[in-house]
Amino acid sequence: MKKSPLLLALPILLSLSCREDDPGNTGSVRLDLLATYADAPLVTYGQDYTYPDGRNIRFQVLNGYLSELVLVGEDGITEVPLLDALFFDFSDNTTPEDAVRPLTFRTDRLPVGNYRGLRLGVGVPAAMNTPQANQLPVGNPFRTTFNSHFWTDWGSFIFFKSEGIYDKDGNGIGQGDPGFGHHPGTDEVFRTVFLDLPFSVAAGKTTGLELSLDVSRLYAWEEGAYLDLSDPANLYTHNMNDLSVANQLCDQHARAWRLRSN
Amino acid sequence: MKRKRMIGALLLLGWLSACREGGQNVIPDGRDPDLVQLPYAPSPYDLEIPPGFPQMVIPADNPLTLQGVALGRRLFYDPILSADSTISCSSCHQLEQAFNDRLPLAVGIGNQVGPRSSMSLLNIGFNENGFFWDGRVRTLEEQALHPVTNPVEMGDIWEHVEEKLRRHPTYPAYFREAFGIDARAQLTRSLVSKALAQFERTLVSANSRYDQKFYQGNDDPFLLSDLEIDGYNIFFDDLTNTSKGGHCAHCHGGPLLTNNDYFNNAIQAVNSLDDFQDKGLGAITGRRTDNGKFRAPSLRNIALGAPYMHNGRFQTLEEVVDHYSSGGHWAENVNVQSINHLSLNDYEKKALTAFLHTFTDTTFYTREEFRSPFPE
Repeated sequence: MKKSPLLLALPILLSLSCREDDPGNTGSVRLDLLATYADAPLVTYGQDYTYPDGRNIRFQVLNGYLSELVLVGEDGITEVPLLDALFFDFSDNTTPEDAVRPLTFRTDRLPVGNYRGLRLGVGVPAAMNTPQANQLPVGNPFRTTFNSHFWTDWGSFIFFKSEGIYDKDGNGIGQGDPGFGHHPGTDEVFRTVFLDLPFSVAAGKTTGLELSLDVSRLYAWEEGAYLDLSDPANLYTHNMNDLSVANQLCDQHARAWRLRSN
Repeated sequence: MKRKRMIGALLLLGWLSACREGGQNVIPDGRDPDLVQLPYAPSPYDLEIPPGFPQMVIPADNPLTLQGVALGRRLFYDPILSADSTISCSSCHQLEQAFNDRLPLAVGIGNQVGPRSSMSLLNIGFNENGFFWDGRVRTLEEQALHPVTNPVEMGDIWEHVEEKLRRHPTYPAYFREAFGIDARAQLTRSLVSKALAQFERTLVSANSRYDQKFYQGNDDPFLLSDLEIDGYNIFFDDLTNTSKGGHCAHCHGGPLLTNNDYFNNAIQAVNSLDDFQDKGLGAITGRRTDNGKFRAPSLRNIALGAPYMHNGRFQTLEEVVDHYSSGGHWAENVNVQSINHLSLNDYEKKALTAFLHTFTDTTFYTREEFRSPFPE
């Protein structure tokens, strides 16, 4: 009796499809996002922080995109997609209680195994960084935030927003102090970050990972350098002829993002 | 025999009177015969989405239909929704005034003055971030319920409005055509708000020179004047071509000319966040840092929408530009784009104001489908 190739393939197909659904072969990852300033939970609005020049700084808006998040296998080559993209917004962390409550993202049906870390992009990948992102389905983070983050003049998303007030005169934040608004965007400032942290995904279990952005590290660079906010030219990043401030800030993402087991 | 006939006639009379509810004939199962005989065959309304605009989010339980939109339009212009039949939605949202009313504060029933100005309804269907100045409701359907019972707007109660519409000679039939009701009792506030929301979703404006230049590929080099282009550069912080960024597009960018977010734009002097007389978003969220925040409205047809701000404090676009140029009042939660002194010179102010005029879509007002369906 000649067996149909389709029938022969069927058990294989069934077994493959069972692997994905079978909790014995997959686990979950819960990603908790937090924002800090010099390792302390970042509270927006009323809380002042010390800038590297000794002056005070206060944040109001802190949000942006992470994209192409993948788990990197033990061999350093294998990649397992975790999330296509997410929008994080810490702007409403106006109390200490808010600031320690993470934004949580969960992915199920991840292959069981040992992993070496997490790779992610900070910003919007070039393929998505177009006005057509406005046409994406409802719920897609790029569509949801299009009106607030797509900067028509550049033809690009703003990849992240960090806004607040800087104590220019050194007498405490108040009337007369300037606002700052750092809004890096365009493909040139997209950065990929690898966060090294061995962890495992176990069958039927959820692995907790805490991903935090320490904003002080965006502004305080290595060897004591920092973005000089007393220079009015550094208060905003909206000059497409000069992306130096945007590039300097985005170069710090590898230092500013941290991954811990949770 | 005669007695039998008499009894039969009485029984028939009794049955007929038992079948009358609220003065209307009803079939024993509760349906109104004059309604069920009408066809219910709604036709989809083909809403054209302009270039660059997002797809509109339309609730699955309230798709746009020709009949629903027509009913919503009728209700929008009909003062039947107010307690004394003097105020309709169109009293405060007038087609020729950018669906606004040109008053600093809205005026409702009995000439009562409300606490805030009326908001434009242009492109309101694309809003996905709450409605009213303070974002207190999430959907257009929910929004439409509020003015009817607001004592300083329409001042009625829904039970009364429902009753008026049920007794009306034509509305039950319109609701039948739009929503398939087969009894007057099914004519509810929920369907009224659905019809109004359908009409409001059709109020799409996208034919300003700004749209033509930046979203419709019109490459006429004279479409915008040099002055307007200079204004564009300030509006969008195009520091390649101007030395001063106005930071306007942070809140008013994109095809919708708003990000639909909420800000304290520094127009009010307060000693602390607790001192805002009108707390705006803060009254809704209960968060102190939201006090004094209000929606960034769309700038579409803004030249026709004076006076400006939630309390109508600025009479002209020039005053608005002056406010942002000089920097506003300090508060803990002030929008940082609003407090920096832009120090625009006279030419830059003129340019920025000129660019704001490119958001005007005059073709919108000639569209018959937005006008009142009632005779003048």
